Amino acid sequence: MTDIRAKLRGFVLEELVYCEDPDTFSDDEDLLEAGLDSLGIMRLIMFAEREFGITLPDTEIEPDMVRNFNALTGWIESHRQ
Amino acid sequence: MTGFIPLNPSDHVLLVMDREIRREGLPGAWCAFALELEGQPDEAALRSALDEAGSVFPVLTARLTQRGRQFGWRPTSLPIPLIQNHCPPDQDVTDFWKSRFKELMHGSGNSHDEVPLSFHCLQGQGKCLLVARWLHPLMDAGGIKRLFDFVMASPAKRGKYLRNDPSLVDRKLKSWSWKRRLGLLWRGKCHNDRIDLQSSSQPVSPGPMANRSLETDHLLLDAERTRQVLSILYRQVGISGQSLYFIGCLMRALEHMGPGLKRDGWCIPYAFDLRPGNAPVPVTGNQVSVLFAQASHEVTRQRDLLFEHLKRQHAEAVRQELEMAYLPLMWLGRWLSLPRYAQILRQQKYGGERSSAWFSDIGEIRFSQPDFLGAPIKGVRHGCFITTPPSLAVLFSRFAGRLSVSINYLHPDLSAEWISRFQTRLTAELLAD
Repeated sequence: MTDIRAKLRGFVLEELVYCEDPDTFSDDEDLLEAGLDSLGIMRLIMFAEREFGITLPDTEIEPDMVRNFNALTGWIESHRQ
Repeated sequence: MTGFIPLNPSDHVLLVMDREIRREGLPGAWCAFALELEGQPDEAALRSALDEAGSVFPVLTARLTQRGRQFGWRPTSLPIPLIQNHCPPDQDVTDFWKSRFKELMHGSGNSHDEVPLSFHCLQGQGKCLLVARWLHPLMDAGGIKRLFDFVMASPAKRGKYLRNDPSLVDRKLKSWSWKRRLGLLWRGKCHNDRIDLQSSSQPVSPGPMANRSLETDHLLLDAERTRQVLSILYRQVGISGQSLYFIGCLMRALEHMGPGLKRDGWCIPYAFDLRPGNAPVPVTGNQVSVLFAQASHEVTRQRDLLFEHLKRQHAEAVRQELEMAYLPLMWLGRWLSLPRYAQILRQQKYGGERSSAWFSDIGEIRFSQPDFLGAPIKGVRHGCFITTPPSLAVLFSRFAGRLSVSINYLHPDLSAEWISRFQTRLTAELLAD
């Protein structure tokens, strides 16, 4: 779980969402408010599929699943089990 | 201050387009981002902010220049022009804005002497249209929005912009090994070959070079209809497909109008912004790669199937990292002559134009403040020149809860009557449930 979260944080805060000090961006902070847009969500999903060897079904891609790092980590973890 | 700032590979693509537009007898790749203001902005504060912007981002005061085969910017110490225009008392302010906007887009000379960025206050009847006009190789629409944010910020809050303004395109390329660069380049080339298996239809079949001019129209949906569009969009393509919804609606509106030049289907290129969301920098330079949306006429006619197809196509493109694959291709393109590069960028193998229309989704525009130096912001508009064909550019954005669609077209390739019917059809597609 920690590994998933760390990899997601690294990718999102480097590539998709700007944060002046990434260490201060909390795991329940709203990623959509922070600037994660529709093309970014697709990149995030493809990153997760590649990195964790899972398939995230289109039908499950809801705002609540990508709202913050806690939700995102839980969603990905549920597909790894 | 360095004497020569080279164009990044993405800027260079826009330089090629600039030359193509000029070759067709038009003024070049001029773009505009305008704010509709209630009242007048503080002129002294605006002048001072532009002077500071010029010193922080020297490229904004530069002139285009060439060194050997390389193009770049030569900074000057000249100020960014700020020009005041007043509406004649006997003219309606909206008509004045429209005619002056058109004059601005057409005013130019030799690109090496031109001022690539200027600001224009079009004042009248207690309102102002503040137009930032720039030459596209200088920066993209995301950069101009950030420049407005810089100007609006109090001097103490400008600190976050006062860092290096490096090109993300160059940074990405430098971060990759040669093996990865070449791998992506090959993937991009193969993708281009696949794209060209479908020859692109055009909205119009342009006649011989005539006295073409750029015309603009603006479709603005109210807050209620914008909410409706977003709700349908979400149901149709989900949260990961906003731009694809607009592209699909554009394709269907074009299909309804009937192609002026009918081939296999529609092909719409769309930019992919390399900046992380809400990043204050980079301000200058074009920080984009490109992807292509394609659909046959048969698929376009079936709404649900079209959106499914566009989503699948986009997911596959991102899965293959094609949004990155165009960066090494653009890097390589810089070594070609401008006409040869233009041919590769525009022409399909069968010889026709690859793009059926130019498209941009700027997304939701949120400024750091509700007013621009004392004048409340009421709306936004965008403009850009296009090549012939496709003679049509459709630019989407959202501001203050309203969907704004700036339609730029070349007359007489397309007529005002055609655009009016197209607008009606596009609105119907956006709201179709």
